[in-house]
Amino acid sequence: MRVVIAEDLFLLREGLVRLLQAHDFEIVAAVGTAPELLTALIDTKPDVGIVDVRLPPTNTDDGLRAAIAARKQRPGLPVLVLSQYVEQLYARELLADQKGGVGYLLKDRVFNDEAFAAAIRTVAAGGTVLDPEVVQKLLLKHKTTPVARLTPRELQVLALMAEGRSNAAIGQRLVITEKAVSKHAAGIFAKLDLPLSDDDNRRVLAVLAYLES
Amino acid sequence: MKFFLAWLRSGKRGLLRGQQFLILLPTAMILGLLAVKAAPGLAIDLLTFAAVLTLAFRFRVWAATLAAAGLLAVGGYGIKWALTWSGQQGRWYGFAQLGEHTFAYAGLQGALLIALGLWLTPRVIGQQLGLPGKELEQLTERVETLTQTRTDAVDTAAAELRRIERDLHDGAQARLVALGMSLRAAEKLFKTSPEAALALVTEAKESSSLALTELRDLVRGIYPPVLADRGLADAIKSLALDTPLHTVVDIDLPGEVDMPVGSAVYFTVAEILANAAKHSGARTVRIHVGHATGLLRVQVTDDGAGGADPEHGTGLKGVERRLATFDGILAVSSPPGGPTIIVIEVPCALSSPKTSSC
Repeated sequence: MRVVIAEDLFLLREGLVRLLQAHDFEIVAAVGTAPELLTALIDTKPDVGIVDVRLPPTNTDDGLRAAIAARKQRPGLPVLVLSQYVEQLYARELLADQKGGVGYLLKDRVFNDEAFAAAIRTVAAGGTVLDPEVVQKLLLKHKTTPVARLTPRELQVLALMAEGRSNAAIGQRLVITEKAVSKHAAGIFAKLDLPLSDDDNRRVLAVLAYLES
Repeated sequence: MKFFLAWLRSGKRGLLRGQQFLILLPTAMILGLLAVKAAPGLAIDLLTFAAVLTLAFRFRVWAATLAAAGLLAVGGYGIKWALTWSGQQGRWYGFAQLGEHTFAYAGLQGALLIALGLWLTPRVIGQQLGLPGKELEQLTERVETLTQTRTDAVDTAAAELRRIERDLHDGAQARLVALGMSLRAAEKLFKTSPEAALALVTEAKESSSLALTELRDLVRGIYPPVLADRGLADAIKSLALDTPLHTVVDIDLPGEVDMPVGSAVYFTVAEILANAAKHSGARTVRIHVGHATGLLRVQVTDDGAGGADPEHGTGLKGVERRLATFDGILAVSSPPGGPTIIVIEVPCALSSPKTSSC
């Protein structure tokens, strides 16, 4: 799998490169600024971009904005955004185009390299992976939209879906069968009035509805 | 002469204090009196006035000095003329008749000048600034307010630094020490007991995760990332997203607010939202942010039970002090039964909005 990495701190960038190479990713570009990232994302056509939010030149959210700009030019281009902090606002902006292939994780999630590699593959395949910290904040919110119609169990399933877990993984986590998970998922899709389409896309839309609530 | 002119020109542009004024004129008088003993006559008077005028020019207290000198001249010669007319003869210098009681007269004259100086100086200073007495009073009040808010600002900043130091010391620093120790122990056990070493490495990893979490929370408390990245409008949107309450946000800011003001307003809104979530029992919070006639205005309304008392608890008091540094105010209306309306107003200019670099 071909990967572009954007991280301005040399040590972290090299660490990421090594970690990903150990998991059989091919690093096609490892850059340190937002303009370089934008060029790399467009020109090298990677399967996924791994992007630090804070990048030069302004050292604010340049990485995030470059990722969103790249997705405007190449809709659905998978990007996994890493940051020292996670913000619901940024999660929404990343998901706003409803194309999927988006990840948003705290940087320390790379400590668990296997889960991190799995998250990259999920994003590359068009899935959505949100940091549990974002999801947790969402759970605190009073729901006033269709999401309020979900049962507590369906909410749990939706939260895990937002973290990018497969039905099998959700079943394992909640100690229920995979079949039960698909039933809950179907219930969620129905209650959120999501049109029949491929499952991946509906999962993305469900997560989005969750964010919008 | 060249040096003298340079000295004249180097005069302070500022105002003379009352004491300086009091020293200036009597000094001129005494010099005059001494000169009169040696060479009496009108020339001496002229010399004295020249000295007074020179000093006045040097120190730029035109009105006060000239008024005093003029009064001295007119009054002194007036009295002299009156006394001469009524039959009393003698030689005079200003108010003082030269003779047996010269020094008594001079003393009286000095006392008069001191009184005149004390009375005249503040008025003249006020007039030079173009301020009537009332505005001078307002200015004094303003200086007191500024002194108070500056002290508060400095105290707050110092307390904040102490808190950050303590948090770093007890949090991340301690965790990094523990991490180092775990890694060192693992290093020793690596060959003899790989399993024990592995457990220690796992512990070290968890320790670093906790250190990161603590650092993240600390950074959020110092300067929230979204505020740093995007400015006040998005930072308030982000606050609204993070509160468990349902929020309606309406922000109309045509430009960017300066960082210090933005930061104070951000933490005020954060405090208000935290209070609403904790105490009010509200379901919905409306946040309105606008800017008009040089005033940034934020209104937060919740549909909770009301009865919020800003005097109660330190949270709102703290942010109110922080706002006061920028002449900002915070007003609370919270009748029992609600709704609670909190308004923040801070005078500030907006800079041009940030432009996207991508």
